[in-house]
Amino acid sequence: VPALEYLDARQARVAGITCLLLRIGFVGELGYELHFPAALGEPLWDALIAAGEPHGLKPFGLEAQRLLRAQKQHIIVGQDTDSESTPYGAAMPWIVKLDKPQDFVGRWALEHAAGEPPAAALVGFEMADGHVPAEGSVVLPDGQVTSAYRSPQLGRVIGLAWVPAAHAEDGRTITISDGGRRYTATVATKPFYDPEGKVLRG
Amino acid sequence: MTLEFLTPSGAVAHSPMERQARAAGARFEVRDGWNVAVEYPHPERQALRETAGWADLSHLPKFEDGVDMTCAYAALLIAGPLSRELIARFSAVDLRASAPGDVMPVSIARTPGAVLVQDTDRYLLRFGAALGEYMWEVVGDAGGRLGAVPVGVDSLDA
Repeated sequence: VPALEYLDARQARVAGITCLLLRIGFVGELGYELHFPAALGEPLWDALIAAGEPHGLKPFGLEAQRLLRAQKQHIIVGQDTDSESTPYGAAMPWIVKLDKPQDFVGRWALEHAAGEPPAAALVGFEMADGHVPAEGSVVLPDGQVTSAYRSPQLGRVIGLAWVPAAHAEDGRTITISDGGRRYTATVATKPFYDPEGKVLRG
Repeated sequence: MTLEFLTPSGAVAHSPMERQARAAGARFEVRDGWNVAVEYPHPERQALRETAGWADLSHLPKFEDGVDMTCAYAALLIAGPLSRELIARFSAVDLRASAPGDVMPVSIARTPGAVLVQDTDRYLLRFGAALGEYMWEVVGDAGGRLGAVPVGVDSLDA
């Protein structure tokens, strides 16, 4: 698909089916998302599998998707955030466009949130000893783990956690309490994979 | 950007109940871009006259606020003298007071849906497409005890 840049969207025919084609990168690789009528799922699936077969294309599951997105520190709303979270605390202030002329849902709340520095910050972390903490584990003195995975690609255990905003700096040591034991982890505010986004935008 | 991509085009569309219809012996024909169960190898018209039959009408166009929702919903027509009795087995809706043309938002087998009353013995159920397989099972389970059978769309014109 020529000239479809990262985060572009357009309508296109794929295998003869009119789709909404998005170039996005939740898993951190060059990727496209196809939206189409549910009743055409089977023929589209069959066409993609057949067309991709000579290139080694394979379907992948949600677990792989979740790990890959965590390597990019791409959040899952509802897992890494809750009703108290704001985009400012979740390290994605760029996503809010308060200079938009139009009104939008949540504008009032976001204008207020933008004026106050968030007390907590969502950061990446890397475990020191390879233990995979349970999601929901406490970050001492105040915070919690929202996602944690062993990454075969990176050879490390990584995750996302809310920590006091003052602790949101690269290399900072944090303590995670899981099952009555304490574990040491290191804060990483940049993606673990392709931190410059070259793969995604390339 | 238009919403053209919401409308099925370019390939044959499939109902979420197609596998169950095929397992029940349905013969399919492509109509209006959909693979439609048109006929079954059992006495369909007799069931429609004496008990009840259910037909997969998921291919019917469905619009909400001008947006094509055809693929978001699946639909089953329940017809025959026992159709109200059959629906009563998986929905609390009281159809006795309804009149042809009524559209009633109802809970169907504990999922949000709607009933379109076509006649006193003919009701179109609309529910989420992703629940199609479940709904066929519910209707089949309840219908089997009443002697109801799946029927093809061609049996409905009689």
